[in-house]
Amino acid sequence: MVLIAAAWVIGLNRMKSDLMPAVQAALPGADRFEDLDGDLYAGYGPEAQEPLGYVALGEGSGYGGPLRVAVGFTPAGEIQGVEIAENRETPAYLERIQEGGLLEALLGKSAADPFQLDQDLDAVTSATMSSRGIAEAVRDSNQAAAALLDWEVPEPAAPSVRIGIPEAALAALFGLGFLGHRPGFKRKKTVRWVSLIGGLVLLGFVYNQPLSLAYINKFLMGFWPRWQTHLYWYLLLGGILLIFLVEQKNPYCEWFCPFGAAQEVLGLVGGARVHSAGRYRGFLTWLRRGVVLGAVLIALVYRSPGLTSYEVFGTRFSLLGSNLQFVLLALVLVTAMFVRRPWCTYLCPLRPVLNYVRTLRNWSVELWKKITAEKTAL
Amino acid sequence: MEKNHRRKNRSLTELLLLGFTLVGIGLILMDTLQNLSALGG
Repeated sequence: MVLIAAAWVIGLNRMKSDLMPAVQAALPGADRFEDLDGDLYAGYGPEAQEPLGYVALGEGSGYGGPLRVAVGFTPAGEIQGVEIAENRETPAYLERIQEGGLLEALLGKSAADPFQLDQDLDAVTSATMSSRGIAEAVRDSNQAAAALLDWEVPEPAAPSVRIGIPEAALAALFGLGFLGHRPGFKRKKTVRWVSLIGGLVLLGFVYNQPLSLAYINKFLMGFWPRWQTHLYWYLLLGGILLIFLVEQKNPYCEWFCPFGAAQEVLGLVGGARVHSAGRYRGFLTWLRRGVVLGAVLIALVYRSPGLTSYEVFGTRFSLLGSNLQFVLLALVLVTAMFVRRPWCTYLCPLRPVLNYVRTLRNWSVELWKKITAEKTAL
Repeated sequence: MEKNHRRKNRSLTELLLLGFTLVGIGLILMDTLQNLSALGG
């Protein structure tokens, strides 16, 4: 707890990004910039008196937390350049965004355009949350520019609650878990498999949004996105934590974690069995706890939730990741054919996190009982 | 004899699981270091 608090404070103090390189890159041709209000710069060409254009900084909420973009405009409000000035996205997703054509698609657009996904912009496949964050940041930069330059841009829309298929699927999966956990329910095994396959297909292959360490890190750092536009994040993290704290049951790992489901399916193929690490069990438990603590601390120090989110989900479900992640994925999948859920048992960061939450919960309950007992005695 | 054989098998499985975990953590650490060095520039 002390280490986490210390890393949090260090992270808060050390991350002051230099945004100027992105500002310069967003308006090629300008060699000097005048700061107009902190979020808006006027760019001048060599020996020019009139601005060559403007660069506005805007903020949005990406997969890993807040991100900022620098948008370069001509004096008439046409976009000339877009640069990601600050981000906390998982490196593989950021690469996907940079190669996916979203930034190029913004060039030539007018500040008066809506910049809405599925309206005038297409999200990059497998990086929807990052794409949404960039679109939001561009809208924000338009507002910053319009306020000072008297451009006409669409009024920022009041956030409307976004309930789509991922949210509905998640609610249905929680519902299946609730049904399966009812005492005396006879078709528990069948319902569990339906839930696992649903999780694998929807949360895994279709939407690629399983619970990861990045979610926990984001929560710890206070990067809580708007609930209206990120209902999925709140449903997944909040639902699991709530059920875990109240019922002391883990509704996710054994029921609809897509990566757990993928391992179980492979286990069926290869005839996997539960194998214990025997005399190494204690050592491996503490080793995993150490790795998870290290990953959380590094993420907090760098204020980047996705930086140390080492799960290979992205690699599995959208073929994204580094070579090392592909090697790790292959190792896990081959082992899963012979050992039941090797990732979950030995490497997944979520179990140590949930165990830690359980310990905190039990401490709090004990403390509360002690306090109420003392009050009653008085 | 049979018991001995089973014990040997169990020891081998335990060793393999230890190897799996250590290799996995090694890969995770190397990947994290790569990410951190990319962040450093």
